[in-house]
Amino acid sequence: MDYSTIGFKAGIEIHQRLDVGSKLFCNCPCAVGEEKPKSVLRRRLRAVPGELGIVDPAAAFEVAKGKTYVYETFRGSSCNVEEDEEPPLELNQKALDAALQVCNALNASVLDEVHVMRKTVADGSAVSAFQRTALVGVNGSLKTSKGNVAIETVCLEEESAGIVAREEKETTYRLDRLGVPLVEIATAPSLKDPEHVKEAAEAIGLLLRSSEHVRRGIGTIRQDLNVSIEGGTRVEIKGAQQLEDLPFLVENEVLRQQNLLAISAELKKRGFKRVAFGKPHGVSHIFAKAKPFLSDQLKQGKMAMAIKLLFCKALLGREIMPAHRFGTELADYAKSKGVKGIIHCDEDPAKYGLTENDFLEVSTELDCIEDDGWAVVVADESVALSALRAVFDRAFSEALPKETRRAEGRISRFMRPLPGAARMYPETDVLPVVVGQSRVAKAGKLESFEERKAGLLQKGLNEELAEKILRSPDARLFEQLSVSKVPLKTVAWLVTDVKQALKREGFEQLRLEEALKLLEQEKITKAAVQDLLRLGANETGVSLEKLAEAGNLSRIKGEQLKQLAASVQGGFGEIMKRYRFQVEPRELSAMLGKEGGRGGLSAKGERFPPGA
Amino acid sequence: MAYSEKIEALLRKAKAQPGDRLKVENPKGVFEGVLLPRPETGGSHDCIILKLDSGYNVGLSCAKAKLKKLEGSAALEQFASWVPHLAVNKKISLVATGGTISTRVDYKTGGVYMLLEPEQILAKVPELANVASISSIKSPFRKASEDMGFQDWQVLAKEVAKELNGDAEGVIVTHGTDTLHYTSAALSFMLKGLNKPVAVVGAQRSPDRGSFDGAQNLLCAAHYCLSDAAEVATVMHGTSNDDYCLANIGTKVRKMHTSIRDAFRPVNCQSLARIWPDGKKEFLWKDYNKRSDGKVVADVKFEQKTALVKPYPGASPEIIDFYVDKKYRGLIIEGTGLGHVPTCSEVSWIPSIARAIEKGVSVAVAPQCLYGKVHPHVYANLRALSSLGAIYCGDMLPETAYVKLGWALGHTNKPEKIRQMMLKNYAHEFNNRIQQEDFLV
Repeated sequence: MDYSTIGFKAGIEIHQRLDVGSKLFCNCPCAVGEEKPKSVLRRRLRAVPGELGIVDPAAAFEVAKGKTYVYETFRGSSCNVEEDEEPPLELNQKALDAALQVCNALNASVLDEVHVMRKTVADGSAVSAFQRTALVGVNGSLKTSKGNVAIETVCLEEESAGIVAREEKETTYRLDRLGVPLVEIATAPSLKDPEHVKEAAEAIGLLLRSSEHVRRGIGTIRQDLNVSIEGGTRVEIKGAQQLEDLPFLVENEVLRQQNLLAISAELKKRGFKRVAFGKPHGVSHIFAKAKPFLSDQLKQGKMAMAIKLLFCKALLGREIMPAHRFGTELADYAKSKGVKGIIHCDEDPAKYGLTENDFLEVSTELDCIEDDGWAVVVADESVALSALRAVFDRAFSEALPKETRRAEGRISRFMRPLPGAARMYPETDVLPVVVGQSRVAKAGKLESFEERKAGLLQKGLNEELAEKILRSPDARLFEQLSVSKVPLKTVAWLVTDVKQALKREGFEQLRLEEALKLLEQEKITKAAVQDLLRLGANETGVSLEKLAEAGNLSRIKGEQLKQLAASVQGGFGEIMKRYRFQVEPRELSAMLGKEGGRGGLSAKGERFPPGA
Repeated sequence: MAYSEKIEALLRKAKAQPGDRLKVENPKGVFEGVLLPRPETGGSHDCIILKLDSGYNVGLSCAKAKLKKLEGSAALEQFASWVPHLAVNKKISLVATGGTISTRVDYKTGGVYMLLEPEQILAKVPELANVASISSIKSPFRKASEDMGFQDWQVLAKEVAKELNGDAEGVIVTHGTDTLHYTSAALSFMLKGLNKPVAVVGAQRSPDRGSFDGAQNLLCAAHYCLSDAAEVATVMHGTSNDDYCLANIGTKVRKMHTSIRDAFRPVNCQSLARIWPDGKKEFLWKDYNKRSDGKVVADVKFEQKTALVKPYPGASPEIIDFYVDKKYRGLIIEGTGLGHVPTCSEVSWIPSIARAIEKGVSVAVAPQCLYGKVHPHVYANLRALSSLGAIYCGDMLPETAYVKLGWALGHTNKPEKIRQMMLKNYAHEFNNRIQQEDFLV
């Protein structure tokens, strides 16, 4: 597809968790998911005033009926601040410095005074019902293969509470995640195509990884996308975690908007005219004979209710992106009102244990003719009504609705309508911070990917290994360990191949630094490293050196090796066969060469780890 | 703190005032937004604060800045006023003062203001319409609770009495939380012949946020006002959850935490009742005063020259001398432990207290420990103090004792009469049977 001809607009927001010792506004450590909750809090949220400060009493009634939010609290990683029981402390200055570093790396101008704001959040993911956020830098730029991409803003903000369970009447969140510092980087909506979106996201990700202040691992970086096309609308897709999914998410969103536009055009062609939402019909008698998952609900007093969807026959079943039909889209709207899904005319009745005749009966009940379709929900009457209303409004909305969608692999699902301009007001409990030029300069600049790669090439790594290292989550670890006298290639092998292999085997506590030290001191051989790390992971209380001695993994070298070589018949091959974990082949081969023995690296052509 | 002279001059030149749309061009870029006033603390005088269209506030240095006023300005937002009058025919009166429960944030300028009208508090709690009709709304003054004094209690007591003698089922008083328990004690003494429930209510979280706790407090207060209790009680969150409120007897309650929702705890007794926002009530007391047909009298006399004094290790007795020389008529001493003051050290308070009592000052002792009673006879030091004529207030909270002494002194000059009044149990200020479970409730 030629994206330059369809009015394609896309931008990304990258949210990266910081690793700066404590949370953004309290002294709790950022230990997410590391402990079991100590207790729970149960809270309800009030309706906050609309844009003009006016609370609609009817809407407030709805909220008052609404959900309970359950918050899990933690001994080690949440306190009164997260619980909305104490005012925030001052802004975490290390987090601010980390954000300044990001600004510098992106050539963004740092604002002279940083003001912390309250951004209202209504889904319970912030106990106070607002998220604290501050704009730190503006007007940056990012170099890409398709030209410079403008970085509109760099913000510092609080992570929301982690969701544990979402049920009809209550949602449970965990507070260990709430308040973890995040840096948010937003590009202008000027990315040129799906691959360009991925490239920009990857470039920002790699840049962030060069900071020692960012967290690593699953969930620590999140990408939100903004996508629109000509005639379509702006849609925000939240929570993409895999870089590889980004181009597909973008492609599928373009596809979705194009297909929805085609459906609108088809409706017009069929002669659709706007009608008011009519009273739904009860069709419980038809669904009483459906499979138990439906009929049991009816026995419990729920109702099956139907509405006619004018001219929608055969459109509901139309696929608008992979494995996602127009009917699925409407069902997601219905689900947001508390039903489990919808049943529509373009489905196979057998799925519900019903027949074509039963479906026809629904059509007859609703006076459907020719192109008319229908949707049915099973729920309590009031829930059913609001769900059907949502289906109707969505099916016949004048234009494509502006939505916030949730990434689910490579497609996205409706989450909620896109909020208007973010409602923000100052966090009056936190003073503004003046950021002078000297502080900005002192924060330093992150090295770009290219700069870091050049550095590694200079140190003697080849191109392939340098890129492998820099793209691995352990690039920082490599840099920390590469101060040792052990050759860089060995360090690289250790933090990539060895670490990954042992992780796959399930070993987590790897004492890499200690092993490297033993290599440096020539107390072990490279061949012994993996076995020794395995032993070390199991015996955490004992030094690797002791474990090497006990496990016959200590290196035999110098005089000792000479004696060994003298005592073993069969030369290099035999010695290496018997002592391959304890003897460095290079030393042995040099020794045997000098002593007049057989040279060569390995008699049997055995492969040894790369390195000296 | 306002903007610096330099910025003021730039703004004058651009003819821009807070609320106006402004364009600021400086070396960092071009920024457009609404000019905001400077907050009182923090930041630099030399930064202009703009609210950008994205909603973010930013501070922009005025160095090398060009300012241009643009079309348009942001007016203060409208806030809803709404009074619940639905089909419910039970009437409740509201007397609003000030405090967190009646603040609001202007979302455009970010300033924190007192609500213009008490009706705006009610707009935050539309469910009140299901409980009662707020038939009368009074707001005799608007003050933060730390700024209130006995004159305010007097005004409040008269206002509440008027409402109680009308057709209301009960009265809700909204109030800042810092000194809410002083006011609840004052109303307990001043409302003579109390005939209906009076709920004193505040909020620990401001109404601008979705987590506003005052809404539940108000709902539960409304339910309390429909109960059969003729008591002044604070009605505030009972736990950190949004589950139920505690109605605590006005003389036996204290703010025990600076910030949490359930900061108001009963001291030396149990709460009067647990009240749920759906109207469920569970009274934990049996012997509370019941609603009656009588008329209440606002008995508001109060002696201004009353003080609360706290001895501590090394504290000088000159504190007492100061009050005596300033012609104070009553002192509550927060005695340490069972009710001590320094007695045998170089800084013994005994001579100064003896002089005070000689000069006709009423001196009473209340527990600095808050929990438990002071006792006049256990130790020799105590006997020294009580033999001078100091009045031992048992388990009465120091704040309650202060209010009570001021109120008693408003009624009589006679030391013996004062003693009698201080030792009489007017409003449950004494609990003569304290039990283990009354500690840290």
